[in-house]
Amino acid sequence: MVLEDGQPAALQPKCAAGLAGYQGYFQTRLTQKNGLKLLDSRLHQARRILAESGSSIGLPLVLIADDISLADQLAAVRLAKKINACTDTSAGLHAGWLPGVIATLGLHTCTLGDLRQRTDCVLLWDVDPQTSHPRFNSRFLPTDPSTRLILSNTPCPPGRKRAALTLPSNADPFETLALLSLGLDDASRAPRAFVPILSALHQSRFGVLVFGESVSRLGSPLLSALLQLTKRLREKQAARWSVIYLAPDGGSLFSGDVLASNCGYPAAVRFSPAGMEYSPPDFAASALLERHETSLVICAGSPGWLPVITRKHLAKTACIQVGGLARSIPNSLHLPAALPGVDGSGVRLRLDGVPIPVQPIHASGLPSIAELLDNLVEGILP
Amino acid sequence: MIVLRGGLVHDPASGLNGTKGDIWFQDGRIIPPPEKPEEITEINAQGLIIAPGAIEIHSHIAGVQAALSARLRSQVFSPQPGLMLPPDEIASAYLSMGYTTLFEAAMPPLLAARAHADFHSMPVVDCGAFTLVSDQACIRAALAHRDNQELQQALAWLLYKTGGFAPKLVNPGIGTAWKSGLTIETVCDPTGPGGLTQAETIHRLATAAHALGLPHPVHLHAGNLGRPGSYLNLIETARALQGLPAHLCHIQFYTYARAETGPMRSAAGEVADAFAALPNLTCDLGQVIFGPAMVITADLQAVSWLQHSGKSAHAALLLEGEGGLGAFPLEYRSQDPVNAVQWAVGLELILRFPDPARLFLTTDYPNGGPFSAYPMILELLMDRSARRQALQRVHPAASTLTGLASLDRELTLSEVFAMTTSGPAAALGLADRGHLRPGARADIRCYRPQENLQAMFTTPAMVFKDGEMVVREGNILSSHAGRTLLVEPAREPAMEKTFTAMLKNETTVHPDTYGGQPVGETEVIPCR
Repeated sequence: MVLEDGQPAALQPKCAAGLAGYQGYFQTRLTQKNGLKLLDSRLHQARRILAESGSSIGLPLVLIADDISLADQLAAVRLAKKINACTDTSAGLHAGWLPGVIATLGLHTCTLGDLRQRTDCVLLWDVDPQTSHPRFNSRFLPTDPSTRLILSNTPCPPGRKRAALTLPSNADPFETLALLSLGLDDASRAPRAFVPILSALHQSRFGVLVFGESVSRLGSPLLSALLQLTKRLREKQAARWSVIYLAPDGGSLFSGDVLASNCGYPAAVRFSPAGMEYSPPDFAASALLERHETSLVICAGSPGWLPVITRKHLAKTACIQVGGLARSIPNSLHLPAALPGVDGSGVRLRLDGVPIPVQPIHASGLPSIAELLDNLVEGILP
Repeated sequence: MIVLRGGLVHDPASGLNGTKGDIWFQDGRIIPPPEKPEEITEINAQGLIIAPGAIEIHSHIAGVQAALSARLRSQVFSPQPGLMLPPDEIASAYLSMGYTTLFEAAMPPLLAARAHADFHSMPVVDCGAFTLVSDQACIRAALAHRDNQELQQALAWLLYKTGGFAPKLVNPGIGTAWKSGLTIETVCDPTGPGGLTQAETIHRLATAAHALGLPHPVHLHAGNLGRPGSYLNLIETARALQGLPAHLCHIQFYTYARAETGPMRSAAGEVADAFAALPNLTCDLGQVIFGPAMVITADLQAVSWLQHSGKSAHAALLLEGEGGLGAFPLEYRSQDPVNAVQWAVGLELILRFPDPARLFLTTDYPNGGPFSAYPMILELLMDRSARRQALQRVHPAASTLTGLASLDRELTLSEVFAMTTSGPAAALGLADRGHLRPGARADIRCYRPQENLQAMFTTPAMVFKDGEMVVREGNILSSHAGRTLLVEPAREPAMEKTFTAMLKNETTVHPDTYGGQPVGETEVIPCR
């Protein structure tokens, strides 16, 4: 079966289970009839909270999740402006410091098609597209092994054919990167095991570094070191190296599984944010909540990307959550909403930033996050 | 039925230059004075200057590149007022200055959906976008086949798939060449598909766009942007069109000659003379404004070159099946000799240009600086004493390496309105905009005359869009979304299968979800 972007397809078992769970959620807790009634009452409550917060001290904060649609994100920004709130999309890896780091180093990102079209060397770091992104695996593997070389820092499981060359797996990652950098300057100073890898890197003209979320979990120094290596390759080799961040399945939202199936990503690709970010970094959610400077939080989507400590602070603050999973923020007022690609249509952004229009595969009758947010905006006096 | 009573009407397309009169409109359109008027709403415009709503022909206002640079600006650098605003604020700022129609300068096909989402969040103004075509896979294949019919159909199909208004050519071939480790130095370089030179590529694309009868011809960003000596390449690019209609954008950035002493000198005289003999072309300026700016471009070679010169952080996104995008911040300083020359070249060029209805005011926002500086530029163009005072405050290179100090010309109101209304409307093929004749859309701006021209142009007394008063004394009164302007050139369904198959082979996006379509109300501008 060939799954395509934006095209409803037969559900994969995992995704079928996700859809069943999603439908079950509305059938047991919020049936279409009762759910919409309940939604009306909660919307009324939310408007009242917003009206009351106008007289209180403290900054309102609008959190924008990275798995909601373009229209939803734009609506969240509209609401933020209406109530003079700070916005934050920056807590996630995608939306946060990563683009800044890449930009500061003068590196390029590229889309997945570039891998297939013109890459002669792929360096996989803590990511295995064969297991985490099987749909994209064909982009990495060459039809002719002489045209593309796959390097990896993780050993290939027995019985699988993936990387042509593997970096020493039990070494300290910083040491490995340092030795690679050293070897790029002077191959004779690198360990013998690195020689074929260095030779491949030297010959590469159009390389791509692909890394996964685990790199970020180890902390930014390792990612910076990896990006520095890419930068050196670009400058030293006069080669066109670029980077792709492949996030694993978000997993926090079962509708993500449904969407994944709907859009043709069987093992799920997390959808990246639209890039809406207008508040200065000092006004990031984590800082505002930690300093108790915010009186009301409106969260568009599920805040699964927030650090645990931020979520703890969030639980102590008045919060309206629009869309996403219920109870993902304790004590919040949750307004259930349709998700584009599941029970609504809209445009979502693929992990490499390419917008994908999606159609619903299930009719829940729920309004979209954008409609609910605009409803809240209308309820606010000018 | 509404009548604007007693204003001083400036309508360059009708030859009206401050003529006292009334403007009647009904159902969003201007009508002739009725013989038996009924249910009249009368608006007192006594003494006000009345002109058609302004049209922005080249600005980076929407889409992924705008979001990318906003993020770069907010996360790597300090936010700057007037720069990298969200789309609704951009539209509001334009509207409050009397602009009622805006065009996004570069929409990548792969990311078109994002631009349309941004358009839908813009209040009141009508928008259109120029689709980046010159490095797109189907276009390149058609060029390589040297098949004019296939090329026409590829253009028509791409405009349809992306909801675009006109084809945008950015240093044609540079996206693909740059990704392959090559550069393009002149229009004679054989870096095009199938061994075509850049000049041949430009001519073929302009021919195809002309044959389709598009209301706006190819919108062309030439190569060698920003380099001393680039004026020669600009003129060669203009001549490569061989008399075909085209619009060359932000030509200030190419009006530089090599100087024996100093970084570069103005080539405004040479460019103005060359363009006087090329009536097939229209242009926009790309004026530089002192202060922070942000480079946004699909010219990957220029991004690389400029970024290396400035050593600043930059973001670049390479796109499958086409070229890519780049963004990086910079600052134009009045005491920097290069920046001072750039600033003076823009003013000199517009003052030397033969016809104000063929060179339009832009800053190539945000590349040259904020569009909110238009009133300041207009004051400098209309008042030679203000210009001379300004020259005193910038680096002497602006006086010694350009001819600005020697120019006495002051633009008239009529010329200013020609380059912001009737000129761009004609270049864009918008028959019902840019003038105040019966049948035109009632897009109107009214100014209160005052000695301080900058203040006058900054805050119109009233702005009307489709006959509705949408701005009064700088306050925006309406928030409904405007229309997206489209074209519908003739397409052959049989050819679409070819392009779909090619797309499927070249990209990881399904052809059905490729590109993007307008979200709200649309208006199709007819082809010739």
